[in-house]
Amino acid sequence: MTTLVAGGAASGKSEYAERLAEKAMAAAARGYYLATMTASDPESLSRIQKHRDRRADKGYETVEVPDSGALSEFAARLSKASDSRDTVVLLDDFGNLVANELFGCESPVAAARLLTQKEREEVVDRLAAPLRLLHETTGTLVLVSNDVFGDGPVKGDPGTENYLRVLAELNRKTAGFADCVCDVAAGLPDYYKGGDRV
Amino acid sequence: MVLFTGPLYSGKHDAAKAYAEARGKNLDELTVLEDAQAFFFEHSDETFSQVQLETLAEEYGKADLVLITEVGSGLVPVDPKDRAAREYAGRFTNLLAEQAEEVYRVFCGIPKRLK
Repeated sequence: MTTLVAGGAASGKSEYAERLAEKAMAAAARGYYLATMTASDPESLSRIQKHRDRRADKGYETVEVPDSGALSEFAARLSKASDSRDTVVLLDDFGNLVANELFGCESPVAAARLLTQKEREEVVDRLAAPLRLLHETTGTLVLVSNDVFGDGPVKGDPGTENYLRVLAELNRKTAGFADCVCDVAAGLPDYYKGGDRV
Repeated sequence: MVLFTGPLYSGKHDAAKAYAEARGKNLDELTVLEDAQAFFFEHSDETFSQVQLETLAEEYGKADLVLITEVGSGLVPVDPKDRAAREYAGRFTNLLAEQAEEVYRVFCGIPKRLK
Protein backbone atom coordinates (compact mmCIF):
# COMPACT_ATOMS: atom_id res chain seq x y z
CA MET A 1 0.00 0.00 0.00
CA THR A 2 1.50 3.29 -1.13
CA THR A 3 0.36 6.73 0.05
CA LEU A 4 1.54 10.04 -1.38
CA VAL A 5 1.22 12.76 1.28
CA ALA A 6 1.58 16.28 -0.14
CA GLY A 7 1.17 19.65 1.50
CA GLY A 8 2.56 23.14 1.99
CA ALA A 9 5.40 24.15 4.32
CA ALA A 10 4.66 23.35 7.97
CA SER A 11 1.25 21.94 6.99
CA GLY A 12 1.79 18.90 9.20
CA LYS A 13 2.45 16.60 6.23
CA SER A 14 5.49 14.92 7.86
CA GLU A 15 3.63 14.31 11.12
CA TYR A 16 0.64 12.87 9.26
CA ALA A 17 2.94 10.65 7.15
CA GLU A 18 4.67 9.49 10.33
CA ARG A 19 1.27 8.59 11.85
CA LEU A 20 0.45 6.49 8.76
CA ALA A 21 3.84 4.76 8.96
CA GLU A 22 3.61 4.14 12.70
CA LYS A 23 0.18 2.57 12.36
CA ALA A 24 1.67 0.12 9.85
CA MET A 25 4.82 -0.38 11.96
CA ALA A 26 2.79 -1.97 14.73
CA ALA A 27 2.33 -5.07 12.57
CA ALA A 28 5.54 -4.92 10.49
CA ALA A 29 8.94 -6.56 10.91
CA ARG A 30 10.95 -3.39 10.29
CA GLY A 31 10.75 0.25 9.29
CA TYR A 32 13.06 2.45 7.27
CA TYR A 33 13.11 6.21 7.31
CA LEU A 34 14.59 7.57 4.08
CA ALA A 35 16.12 10.98 4.79
CA THR A 36 16.76 13.27 1.83
CA MET A 37 18.28 16.47 3.18
CA THR A 38 21.97 17.22 2.75
CA ALA A 39 22.89 19.98 5.14
CA SER A 40 25.71 21.80 6.85
CA ASP A 41 24.06 25.12 7.79
CA PRO A 42 22.63 25.58 11.32
CA GLU A 43 19.01 26.10 10.20
CA SER A 44 18.90 22.85 8.18
CA LEU A 45 20.75 20.93 10.91
CA SER A 46 18.24 22.10 13.51
CA ARG A 47 15.37 21.07 11.19
CA ILE A 48 16.95 17.63 10.78
CA GLN A 49 17.37 17.33 14.57
CA LYS A 50 13.67 18.18 15.06
CA HIS A 51 12.65 15.36 12.73
CA ARG A 52 15.17 12.98 14.39
CA ASP A 53 13.83 13.73 17.88
CA ARG A 54 10.30 13.04 16.70
CA ARG A 55 11.40 9.67 15.32
CA ALA A 56 13.41 8.62 18.39
CA ASP A 57 12.19 5.31 19.88
CA LYS A 58 9.87 4.69 16.94
CA GLY A 59 12.04 1.82 15.71
CA TYR A 60 13.03 3.21 12.33
CA GLU A 61 16.38 2.60 10.74
CA THR A 62 17.41 5.86 9.06
CA VAL A 63 18.94 5.63 5.59
CA GLU A 64 20.32 8.69 3.79
CA VAL A 65 19.01 8.87 0.22
CA PRO A 66 19.85 12.37 -1.01
CA ASP A 67 19.65 11.50 -4.72
CA SER A 68 18.49 8.95 -7.30
CA GLY A 69 21.71 6.89 -6.99
CA ALA A 70 21.28 6.25 -3.27
CA LEU A 71 17.52 5.77 -3.68
CA SER A 72 17.99 3.19 -6.47
CA GLU A 73 20.56 1.33 -4.40
CA PHE A 74 18.21 1.16 -1.40
CA ALA A 75 15.22 0.10 -3.53
CA ALA A 76 17.23 -2.66 -5.25
CA ARG A 77 18.51 -3.95 -1.91
CA LEU A 78 15.10 -3.92 -0.23
CA SER A 79 13.34 -5.52 -3.20
CA LYS A 80 15.66 -8.55 -2.79
CA ALA A 81 15.08 -8.85 0.96
CA SER A 82 12.87 -11.77 1.95
CA ASP A 83 10.80 -9.64 4.33
CA SER A 84 10.24 -6.61 2.05
CA ARG A 85 6.46 -7.21 2.14
CA ASP A 86 6.66 -6.97 5.90
CA THR A 87 8.49 -3.64 5.79
CA VAL A 88 7.41 -0.01 6.22
CA VAL A 89 9.27 2.68 4.27
CA LEU A 90 8.75 6.39 4.89
CA LEU A 91 10.46 8.87 2.55
CA ASP A 92 10.54 12.59 3.44
CA ASP A 93 10.58 14.44 1.01
CA PHE A 94 10.42 14.87 -2.80
CA GLY A 95 11.33 18.58 -2.57
CA ASN A 96 14.84 17.79 -1.30
CA LEU A 97 15.32 14.85 -3.67
CA VAL A 98 14.49 16.97 -6.71
CA ALA A 99 16.67 19.88 -5.52
CA ASN A 100 19.64 17.56 -4.95
CA GLU A 101 19.08 15.80 -8.27
CA LEU A 102 18.90 19.07 -10.23
CA PHE A 103 21.37 21.28 -8.38
CA GLY A 104 23.53 18.88 -6.33
CA CYS A 105 26.60 19.05 -8.56
CA GLU A 106 29.01 21.85 -9.37
CA SER A 107 27.70 24.29 -12.04
CA PRO A 108 24.44 22.40 -12.68
CA VAL A 109 22.83 22.74 -16.12
CA ALA A 110 19.39 23.04 -14.51
CA ALA A 111 20.39 26.36 -12.92
CA ALA A 112 21.62 27.86 -16.19
CA ARG A 113 18.87 27.20 -18.71
CA LEU A 114 15.42 25.67 -19.15
CA LEU A 115 15.66 21.89 -19.53
CA THR A 116 13.97 20.31 -22.54
CA GLN A 117 10.95 18.11 -21.91
CA LYS A 118 13.12 15.06 -22.65
CA GLU A 119 15.75 16.15 -20.11
CA ARG A 120 13.03 16.73 -17.50
CA GLU A 121 11.54 13.30 -18.17
CA GLU A 122 14.97 11.72 -17.66
CA VAL A 123 15.32 13.34 -14.23
CA VAL A 124 11.77 12.36 -13.26
CA ASP A 125 12.35 8.77 -14.41
CA ARG A 126 15.60 8.46 -12.46
CA LEU A 127 13.60 9.19 -9.29
CA ALA A 128 10.28 7.59 -10.24
CA ALA A 129 11.78 4.21 -11.24
CA PRO A 130 13.17 3.32 -7.76
CA LEU A 131 9.99 4.71 -6.16
CA ARG A 132 7.91 2.41 -8.35
CA LEU A 133 10.14 -0.54 -7.41
CA LEU A 134 9.57 0.30 -3.72
CA HIS A 135 5.82 0.58 -4.41
CA GLU A 136 5.84 -2.90 -5.95
CA THR A 137 7.92 -4.62 -3.28
CA THR A 138 7.33 -2.84 0.04
CA GLY A 139 4.44 -3.65 2.34
CA THR A 140 3.74 -0.03 3.29
CA LEU A 141 5.27 2.91 1.47
CA VAL A 142 4.61 6.49 2.59
CA LEU A 143 5.99 9.29 0.40
CA VAL A 144 6.04 12.93 1.45
CA SER A 145 5.96 15.68 -1.17
CA ASN A 146 5.73 19.44 -1.25
CA ASP A 147 3.07 21.77 -2.56
CA VAL A 148 5.21 24.75 -3.59
CA PHE A 149 3.10 25.85 -6.54
CA GLY A 150 1.03 28.57 -4.87
CA ASP A 151 2.79 31.48 -6.57
CA GLY A 152 1.73 30.26 -9.98
CA PRO A 153 4.03 30.55 -13.00
CA VAL A 154 7.53 31.99 -12.50
CA LYS A 155 9.09 34.41 -14.94
CA GLY A 156 12.71 34.62 -16.06
CA ASP A 157 14.28 32.15 -13.63
CA PRO A 158 15.08 28.86 -15.43
CA GLY A 159 16.36 27.12 -12.26
CA THR A 160 13.09 27.70 -10.39
CA GLU A 161 10.96 26.78 -13.37
CA ASN A 162 12.92 23.52 -13.91
CA TYR A 163 12.49 22.72 -10.23
CA LEU A 164 8.74 23.36 -10.21
CA ARG A 165 8.16 21.40 -13.41
CA VAL A 166 10.22 18.36 -12.34
CA LEU A 167 8.66 18.26 -8.87
CA ALA A 168 5.14 18.56 -10.35
CA GLU A 169 5.85 15.79 -12.88
CA LEU A 170 7.24 13.54 -10.14
CA ASN A 171 4.14 14.25 -8.03
CA ARG A 172 1.80 13.36 -10.91
CA LYS A 173 3.73 10.24 -11.87
CA THR A 174 3.86 8.98 -8.28
CA ALA A 175 0.19 9.85 -7.70
CA GLY A 176 -0.57 7.73 -10.78
CA PHE A 177 0.63 4.49 -9.19
CA ALA A 178 0.03 5.31 -5.52
CA ASP A 179 -3.01 3.71 -3.87
CA CYS A 180 -3.81 6.86 -1.86
CA VAL A 181 -3.05 10.54 -2.45
CA CYS A 182 -3.82 13.34 -0.02
CA ASP A 183 -3.27 17.07 0.39
CA VAL A 184 -2.52 17.96 4.03
CA ALA A 185 -3.58 21.29 5.55
CA ALA A 186 -3.63 22.10 9.26
CA GLY A 187 -2.36 18.58 9.89
CA LEU A 188 -5.47 17.08 8.30
CA PRO A 189 -5.54 15.01 5.10
CA ASP A 190 -7.87 15.76 2.17
CA TYR A 191 -7.88 12.63 0.00
CA TYR A 192 -7.86 12.82 -3.80
CA LYS A 193 -7.41 9.07 -4.21
CA GLY A 194 -8.05 6.17 -1.85
CA GLY A 195 -8.24 7.17 1.78
CA ASP A 196 -6.60 5.30 4.62
CA ARG A 197 -7.48 7.93 7.18
CA VAL A 198 -5.80 7.87 10.58
CA MET B 1 -19.06 25.12 -19.08
CA VAL B 2 -16.84 22.88 -16.97
CA LEU B 3 -14.03 24.50 -14.97
CA PHE B 4 -10.71 22.87 -14.10
CA THR B 5 -8.57 24.62 -11.52
CA GLY B 6 -5.61 23.55 -9.38
CA PRO B 7 -1.97 24.42 -8.67
CA LEU B 8 0.61 25.11 -11.36
CA TYR B 9 1.53 22.02 -13.46
CA SER B 10 -0.95 19.88 -11.51
CA GLY B 11 -2.27 18.16 -14.66
CA LYS B 12 -5.34 20.26 -15.52
CA HIS B 13 -4.95 19.75 -19.27
CA ASP B 14 -4.70 15.96 -18.99
CA ALA B 15 -7.69 15.91 -16.63
CA ALA B 16 -9.74 17.98 -19.11
CA LYS B 17 -8.71 15.61 -21.92
CA ALA B 18 -9.73 12.57 -19.88
CA TYR B 19 -13.03 14.29 -18.98
CA ALA B 20 -13.81 14.90 -22.66
CA GLU B 21 -12.78 11.40 -23.75
CA ALA B 22 -14.89 9.78 -21.04
CA ARG B 23 -17.84 11.54 -22.72
CA GLY B 24 -16.88 10.31 -26.20
CA LYS B 25 -15.45 13.67 -27.27
CA ASN B 26 -12.11 14.79 -28.58
CA LEU B 27 -10.61 17.97 -27.08
CA ASP B 28 -10.26 19.35 -30.63
CA GLU B 29 -14.04 19.24 -31.09
CA LEU B 30 -14.60 21.34 -27.96
CA THR B 31 -13.98 24.98 -27.14
CA VAL B 32 -11.21 24.84 -24.56
CA LEU B 33 -9.77 27.96 -22.95
CA GLU B 34 -6.44 27.19 -21.27
CA ASP B 35 -4.36 29.33 -18.91
CA ALA B 36 -7.24 31.71 -18.16
CA GLN B 37 -5.13 33.40 -15.46
CA ALA B 38 -2.50 34.39 -18.06
CA PHE B 39 -4.95 36.91 -19.58
CA PHE B 40 -4.66 39.13 -16.50
CA PHE B 41 -0.86 38.96 -16.40
CA GLU B 42 -0.74 39.80 -20.12
CA HIS B 43 -3.10 42.76 -19.54
CA SER B 44 -1.45 43.94 -16.34
CA ASP B 45 -1.55 47.58 -17.52
CA GLU B 46 -5.33 47.53 -17.36
CA THR B 47 -7.77 47.75 -14.49
CA PHE B 48 -10.95 45.69 -14.53
CA SER B 49 -14.21 46.67 -12.87
CA GLN B 50 -16.46 44.03 -11.33
CA VAL B 51 -18.85 44.51 -14.27
CA GLN B 52 -16.03 43.95 -16.74
CA LEU B 53 -14.96 40.79 -14.92
CA GLU B 54 -18.53 39.52 -14.92
CA THR B 55 -18.88 40.23 -18.65
CA LEU B 56 -15.61 38.44 -19.32
CA ALA B 57 -16.72 35.48 -17.19
CA GLU B 58 -19.93 35.28 -19.23
CA GLU B 59 -17.82 35.15 -22.41
CA TYR B 60 -15.65 32.38 -20.98
CA GLY B 61 -18.83 30.67 -19.82
CA LYS B 62 -19.74 30.00 -23.45
CA ALA B 63 -16.73 27.68 -23.80
CA ASP B 64 -17.05 23.96 -23.10
CA LEU B 65 -14.01 23.73 -20.84
CA VAL B 66 -12.00 26.43 -19.05
CA LEU B 67 -8.66 25.80 -17.30
CA ILE B 68 -7.31 28.27 -14.75
CA THR B 69 -4.22 27.96 -12.54
CA GLU B 70 -4.49 28.79 -8.85
CA VAL B 71 -2.16 31.72 -8.22
CA GLY B 72 -3.35 33.09 -4.89
CA SER B 73 -1.62 31.03 -2.21
CA GLY B 74 1.94 32.31 -2.55
CA LEU B 75 3.48 35.47 -1.14
CA VAL B 76 1.93 38.79 -2.12
CA PRO B 77 3.85 39.93 -5.23
CA VAL B 78 6.06 43.00 -4.72
CA ASP B 79 5.20 44.34 -8.18
CA PRO B 80 1.86 46.23 -8.04
CA LYS B 81 0.86 45.02 -11.51
CA ASP B 82 1.50 41.38 -10.62
CA ARG B 83 -0.42 41.96 -7.38
CA ALA B 84 -3.41 43.31 -9.28
CA ALA B 85 -3.23 40.54 -11.92
CA ARG B 86 -3.22 37.89 -9.21
CA GLU B 87 -6.21 39.52 -7.51
CA TYR B 88 -8.17 39.66 -10.79
CA ALA B 89 -7.29 36.04 -11.60
CA GLY B 90 -8.62 34.91 -8.21
CA ARG B 91 -11.83 36.94 -8.43
CA PHE B 92 -12.32 35.75 -11.98
CA THR B 93 -11.97 32.11 -10.90
CA ASN B 94 -14.84 32.66 -8.45
CA LEU B 95 -17.01 34.16 -11.18
CA LEU B 96 -16.15 31.29 -13.54
CA ALA B 97 -17.05 28.76 -10.85
CA GLU B 98 -20.45 30.45 -10.47
CA GLN B 99 -21.01 30.11 -14.22
CA ALA B 100 -19.78 26.51 -14.39
CA GLU B 101 -22.04 23.48 -14.26
CA GLU B 102 -19.15 21.47 -12.84
CA VAL B 103 -15.91 22.52 -11.12
CA TYR B 104 -12.90 20.26 -10.60
CA ARG B 105 -9.71 20.90 -8.64
CA VAL B 106 -6.78 18.89 -10.01
CA PHE B 107 -4.06 17.93 -7.51
CA CYS B 108 -1.05 15.76 -8.45
CA GLY B 109 -2.89 14.85 -11.65
CA ILE B 110 -6.07 13.74 -9.85
CA PRO B 111 -9.31 15.69 -10.37
CA LYS B 112 -11.72 16.13 -7.46
CA ARG B 113 -15.19 17.51 -8.07
CA LEU B 114 -15.95 20.63 -6.00
CA LYS B 115 -19.23 21.49 -7.73
